[in-house]
Amino acid sequence: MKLAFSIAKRFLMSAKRHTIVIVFCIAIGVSIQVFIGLLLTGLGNSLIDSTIGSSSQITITYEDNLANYNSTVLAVSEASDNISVVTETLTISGALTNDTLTENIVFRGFNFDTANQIYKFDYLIVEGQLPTSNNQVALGIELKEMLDINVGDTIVYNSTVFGEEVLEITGFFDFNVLAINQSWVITPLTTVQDIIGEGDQIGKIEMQLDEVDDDLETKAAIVAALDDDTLDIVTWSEQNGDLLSSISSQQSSSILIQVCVIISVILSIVSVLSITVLQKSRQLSILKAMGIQDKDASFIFLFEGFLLGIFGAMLGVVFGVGLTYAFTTFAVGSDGSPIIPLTLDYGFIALSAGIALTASTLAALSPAIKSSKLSVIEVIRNG
Amino acid sequence: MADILTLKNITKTYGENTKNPTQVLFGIDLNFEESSFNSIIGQSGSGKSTLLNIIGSLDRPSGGEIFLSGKDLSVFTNKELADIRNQYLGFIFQFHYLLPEFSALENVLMPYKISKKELTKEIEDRAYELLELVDLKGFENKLATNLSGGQQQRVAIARSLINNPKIVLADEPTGNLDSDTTEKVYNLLREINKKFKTTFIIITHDRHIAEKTDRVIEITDGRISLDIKK
Amino acid sequence: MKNNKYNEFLDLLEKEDKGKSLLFILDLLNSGVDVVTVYEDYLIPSLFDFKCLAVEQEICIWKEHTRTSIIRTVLEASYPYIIEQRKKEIHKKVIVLCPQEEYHEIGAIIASNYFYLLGFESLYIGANTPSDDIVSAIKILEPDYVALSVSNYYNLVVTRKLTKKIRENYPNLSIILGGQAFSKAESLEQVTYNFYLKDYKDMVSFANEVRK
Repeated sequence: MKLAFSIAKRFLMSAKRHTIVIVFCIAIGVSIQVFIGLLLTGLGNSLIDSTIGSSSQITITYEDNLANYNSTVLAVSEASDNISVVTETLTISGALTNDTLTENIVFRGFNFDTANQIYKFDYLIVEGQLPTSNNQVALGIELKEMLDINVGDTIVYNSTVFGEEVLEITGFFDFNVLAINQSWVITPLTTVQDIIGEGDQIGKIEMQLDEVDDDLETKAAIVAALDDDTLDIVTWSEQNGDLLSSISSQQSSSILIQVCVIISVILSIVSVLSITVLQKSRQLSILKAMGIQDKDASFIFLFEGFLLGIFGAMLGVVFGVGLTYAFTTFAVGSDGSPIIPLTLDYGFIALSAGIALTASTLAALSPAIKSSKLSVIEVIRNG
Repeated sequence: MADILTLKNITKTYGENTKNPTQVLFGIDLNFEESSFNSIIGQSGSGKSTLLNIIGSLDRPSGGEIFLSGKDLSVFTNKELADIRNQYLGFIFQFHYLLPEFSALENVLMPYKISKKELTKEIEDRAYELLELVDLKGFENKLATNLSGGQQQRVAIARSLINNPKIVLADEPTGNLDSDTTEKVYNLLREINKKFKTTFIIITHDRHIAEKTDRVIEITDGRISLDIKK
Repeated sequence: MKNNKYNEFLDLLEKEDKGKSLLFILDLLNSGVDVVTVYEDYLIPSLFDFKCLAVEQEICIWKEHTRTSIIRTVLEASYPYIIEQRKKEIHKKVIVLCPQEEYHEIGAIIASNYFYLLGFESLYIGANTPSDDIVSAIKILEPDYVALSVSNYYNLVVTRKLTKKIRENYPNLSIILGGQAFSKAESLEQVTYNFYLKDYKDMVSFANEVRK
């Protein structure tokens, strides 16, 4: 073993340029594997995030509104560890009127302390600021033109049910969704509660989860915690069946792509190593004539594959991570954030390196076995 | 002198299981005395190299028996034959076949390293001595590829001797050397034969080498056509 | 007496004195010593009696060559005495030669002279004679015997092939072998031949046999 290792090392060291080329071949394969893997994972995460990241993932709706809600909200937030944020909302409909113009709107009261964590209003405000006190509101950006209004103006809310109310405009937000930008008016919870005039009550409890995939389990936990199976409670996956199936098909195609990349990496390693073994058949014959055991002869090539694999994988990881870093640094959107946010999944990187290492060693196996059966005489007679 | 090597009715057929088997050796019977200096001659294709390869256990005969110091090699496994090659035999080939990745000294030590014994001061000294014997003092750490053809062949000779083999088998050892170097190599082999009592079996087509050996065996079409002693 | 005389001759040879060596032998022949005695007691032993001054070398090749050259001259000069002392004619033709690559021809010349002396019609056709030329010589000269002189044992390789070829082409031609190369019985066994004549004594018996 020691002899085989030292011979393998010498073979590699004495053909430095060739060795470097092989290491680079393996490294490029590994780096592509790492980069594409991270890219596809990032893409999948980003799709889920952009679709449901800024919305309620489990929503409890009270048809007749819920009074004395504090204990219920607390109970919900303690129902499962998976729940990251819980916020209570109250929503009414109506219209905004500005002298001549009238637009139908959805008037939503939020507890901004917690709601911000779900909807990220702070980032969405494009003009002015979030409302902070009663009868202050922020509007969807489309409403600005539709109603021809500006920050600081007042506008009248009216509803056939709740009458009229004068509101002060503190800002405009952009949700990047036309329907919301054209209809949402947000305000502190108390504004809506006061308009209704029936004391502290809420219409919905909304929440976000740490693990979005575990939504159904969390829902069950909430039902159990509240001990009420008549609740109207809906999760994101129940609401977005199409999205779910598209994400899972995207994930399986990502696996397919990775398998293809791995196969091509393995094949290139195998072919490169077979040539190496072929080139050393003369040396092998000499060693055999001098009495080296077949087993030791095979080990020389296994070690060669192993060493090439180690250095190729290490370099490949460096390349792959570098490529990923470059991608997240230079391929950015207008807001300075990456087009596809990538996270370094160390487990995945280690797996890629491990696959390359195993592949290189196994790739050396078949030529090594072949070489151990090599006829010494043929090589010797043919010079 | 006792016989160190005995061949009994050795036959060799290539492609035994094919449509056109080719028999290259027909019932070779030979004895070699200990510390004798022998040559095998014959035209190319006569089977002389096949015979040497069979003697060197690089190839197995199709029939017959080989006894090395009384041991029947035909019952040995490949692993045991590898050990025999390592411990009892030394090889010198026409194309010297050094490992180009290693220095002269490392090449000389390689058969010893293959035997998996611990490298000792004694064996290193012996390697240096052998290189001195073949007139290569000062070239120990040169890479094999940086030596001339004659120097490489002399390294190969030193290498063949490191494990104190009983028999050295040489296939055209001077085949690609000029006549001056040929003479030097021959004298060296002779000197080793006298000094270490090593048995030599040398394939050659160089009559100047062959006529100086103590015994000439001529192989014609796979048979011994002449076997003469000085 | 003879020993003293021989040493005298050897001294002259050691000095590489060609002229005195030749005169020494001619004196012997003129004083009535017969050719066979001169050959057997003086010339042949002197070919093996070397004192090499160059100690570092086992054989001095140049010395051997000089000695050979002197002996060859002596042999040529002795030919009138061969003619004079020739036995009754046998009417059988012998050609004497050395095979290809065999350059040691003194033995062959002596053998050829002996054959003539013994009554054969003898012709020495040379050293290092290519095999094809030997066959064509046989065709033209139509000898009764072909005599091969081989000194270097390695030349048995070519001798074996040559005698085989002669036998194939001329099955009735007798092959005579002689020379140091055949000193081992097992070597001789491997070559095709009819007669092996080791020395003059053998040649005399052979001649007597042929005469019958």
